Amino acid sequence: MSEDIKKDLSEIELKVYAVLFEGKQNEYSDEIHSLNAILSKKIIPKRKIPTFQELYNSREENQKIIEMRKKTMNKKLIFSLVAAILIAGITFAIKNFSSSSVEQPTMQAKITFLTGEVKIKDASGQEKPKVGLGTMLDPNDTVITGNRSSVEVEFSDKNKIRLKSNSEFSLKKLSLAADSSEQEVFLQRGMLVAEIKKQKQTDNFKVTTPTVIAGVRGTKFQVEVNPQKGATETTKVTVSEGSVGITKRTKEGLPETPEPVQILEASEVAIEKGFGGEISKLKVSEEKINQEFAATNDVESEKDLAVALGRSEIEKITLEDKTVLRGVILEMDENFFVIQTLNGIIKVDKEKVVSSELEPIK
Amino acid sequence: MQEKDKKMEEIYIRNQKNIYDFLYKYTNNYDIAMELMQDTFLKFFENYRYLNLSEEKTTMLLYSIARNTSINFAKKFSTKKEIPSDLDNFTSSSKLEAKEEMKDLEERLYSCLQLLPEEQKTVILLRNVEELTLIQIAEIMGLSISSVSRLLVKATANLLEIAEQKGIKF
Repeated sequence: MSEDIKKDLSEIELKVYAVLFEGKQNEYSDEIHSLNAILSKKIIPKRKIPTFQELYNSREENQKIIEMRKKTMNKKLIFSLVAAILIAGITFAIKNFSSSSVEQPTMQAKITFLTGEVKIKDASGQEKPKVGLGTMLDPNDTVITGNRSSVEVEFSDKNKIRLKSNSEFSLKKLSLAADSSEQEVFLQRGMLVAEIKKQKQTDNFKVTTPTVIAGVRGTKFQVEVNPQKGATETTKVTVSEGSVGITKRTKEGLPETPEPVQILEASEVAIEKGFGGEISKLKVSEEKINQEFAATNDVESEKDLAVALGRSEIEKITLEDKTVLRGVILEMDENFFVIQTLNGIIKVDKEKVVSSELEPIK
Repeated sequence: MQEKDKKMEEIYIRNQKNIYDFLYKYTNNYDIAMELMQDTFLKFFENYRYLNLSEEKTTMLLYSIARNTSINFAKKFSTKKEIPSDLDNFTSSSKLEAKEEMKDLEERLYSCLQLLPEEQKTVILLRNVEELTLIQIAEIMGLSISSVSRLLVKATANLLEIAEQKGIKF
């Protein structure tokens, strides 16, 4: 390990290494210790640091900002949606089971990633005996995850959704015609991440919660339903790239308006205050969403990661800037790798990759 | 204020000074550091207020957000700022010359820090401001422990060299 670190270090750097990591004394020891002493010395703020209450109030004010924007199509998109659910969920779910069962299931959905405890129930509530990589889902199947579990479902058009821990979704619509496709996922509780390929005008991918319909024409977004004790139905949608149209639902589960009432674009968040409430919108920064993605990973060790994806090796990718990524390659094309690391999914430009090697998992 | 917000208040009180400290040394600007510090906590509240995170995880997430917020800020507001890739570029930096008159050794050192590549700067600050372990730093930055060790060695050696060129005596 230490030999690896020392590789290609200059003479000065080797001496610095000796002081920092081997506890040795040399001509740089004193300087290094003074340097570190200065860097660790706490500075005195020249301005008053706001109290928590002041900070909190500024946040509330931000949330009141409401703005409307034109929808831009066919862009990449990532959004997250947080909703607190009451009774409406179940009644609506049953309603939809009967209405959508008429559809021809020509599009397939199968499990491509699995970790922890994952259950699948069919429309009648019957649990599937065996769930594993490659298990096919039927329309109206409900997928349920337990603690520290997650599951990824890939559709035959390569669209993907990943359900996080303690979550539940049903496949409402799963159809593929010659010139269009329609997929609808109803998120009962918890959180899901969906990655949607560039869609044709006639393709339709929707994520619904009891209170909203999020219509998607982009590539990637994240949805969370967060049942909170005593809360009314609220939904939060966050968009990182591209745009999402938000339509409110009536208590009967129908769209309240023919067109979306709110168009969310990159770095915007909408907070929906339940049936009859308004939708407010505010701007957030890009890395907030990246943070969210990083934080919602349910896999803890590289071993879990490899096992969950049915691999026995971990890919070690070194980039130009000496960054090392460790994980499992989910997919690649001529320009990019998509790698699942313990810190989330990362898209890597192939040109920036210096080397990659496979390491057996320990 | 709800119960969750009480917890956020505790987190804010416990971490605000260190995060501010990190951001000041990172940006070398009091006002920007203050703004980024607030952004960092707001982002944290927004994303993590419903999660029950350990103190350690909270601290690490805060630094990770603080760093990302700073990087984004730098991208937005200094469109042409290039990170020098080797030490030869440092001597020609006029920015440093302008700060040459600063009497305060610490201030001068913080300005030298700005000449380090971003990753080196982050590593050396995380190591000293919060005394985080290499493992924790590796997790915050999404790097391996050996990469972090190398970055720390390179950052220290670079800083010593820049300081010497600028006549800073410890």
